[in-house]
Amino acid sequence: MSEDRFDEILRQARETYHRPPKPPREAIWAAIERRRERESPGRRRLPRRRWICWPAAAAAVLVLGIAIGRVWTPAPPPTGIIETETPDAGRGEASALYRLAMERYLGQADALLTRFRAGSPAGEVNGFLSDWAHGLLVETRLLLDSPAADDVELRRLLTDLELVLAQIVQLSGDSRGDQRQWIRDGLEKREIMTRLRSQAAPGDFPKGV
Amino acid sequence: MDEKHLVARVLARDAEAERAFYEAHVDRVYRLAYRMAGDEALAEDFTQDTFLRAFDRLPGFRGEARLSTWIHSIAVSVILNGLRRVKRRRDRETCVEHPDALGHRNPGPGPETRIGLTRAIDGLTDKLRVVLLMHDLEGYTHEEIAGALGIPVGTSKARLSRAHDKMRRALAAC
Repeated sequence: MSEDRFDEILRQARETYHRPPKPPREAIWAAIERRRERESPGRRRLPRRRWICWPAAAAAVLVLGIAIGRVWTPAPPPTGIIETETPDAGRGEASALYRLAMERYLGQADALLTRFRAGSPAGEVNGFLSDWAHGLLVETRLLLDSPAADDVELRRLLTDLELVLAQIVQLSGDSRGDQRQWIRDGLEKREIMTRLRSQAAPGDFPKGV
Repeated sequence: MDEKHLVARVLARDAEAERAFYEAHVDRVYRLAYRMAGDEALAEDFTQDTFLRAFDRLPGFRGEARLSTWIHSIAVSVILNGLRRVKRRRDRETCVEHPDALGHRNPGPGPETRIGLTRAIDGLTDKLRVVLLMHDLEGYTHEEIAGALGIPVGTSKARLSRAHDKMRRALAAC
């Protein structure tokens, strides 16, 4: 068989052999989403569900406080008036918890990024820093889905931190220097350290946090 | 958005980035799956499986190869394994119910040459067929094929040459 004839046959094959139709993109994507949801239920809602812990913790602190108060405080003489808890009390406890969590988080993020910028050895990025960044990445997502992220500036900072931390997690020990430099450039360009430190300044938390 | 940025955002579970990642690769993955399977339902299943596996394994993607090469290596593995399963199942069914119906489902009635061509391609082993379909029908380069199959470029060229020889012989015998 001549080369020309064979080329003609291959051209024919392109047109006739299992010629693909247009892919049903939406249907395939919907099926992927369904299967991902089924295989790891609550995947996208994870931060939201975990965030339930905050009000629950605040409520637990309140209940404990009330219980201790009832044990240690002598009961007042009956007056016939029913006393009720004020909503402000609960909000104050939750607010204190947010503040503590955010202070701790911002301090940790500052420490990690300072260490990263100082030029960590490749092995450290692969192990210790990567694990550290992974833990902080999880916390970032929790905070992004919390009332703390209602503040526009803080939300922007958390979003930028989420991206940087994901990039650090992805770095391997044998990553090239330019990949690390690329992350450092991103930190500079978005002024993340400056914003991070201004948010972390004591007494400078946004309202409600 | 460049690849590194896209991967970082997908790892951060950014829904828009996940969709962008899917959109960037779905057409070629689906086309390859369809070329190999010749069946819409199978092609859809293989495409889904490819992306599910890609999302699961993305944290391990180190950027040593291009993202398209990486996802095609997953696709080829999913497709070949899937076809083996389907073939085993069909072989069992045809042995019991339709002894004459062995072989692929696609050819149907048509001109002699078309049937001959289909038989010649179907008669190749999967190792040769995937190289032929990727190179001659879908336009992949030998570098892309080598990356997706995890073989040297020279092996990809040799397999294509063997596939051509076998096809010539099969067509000559028609």
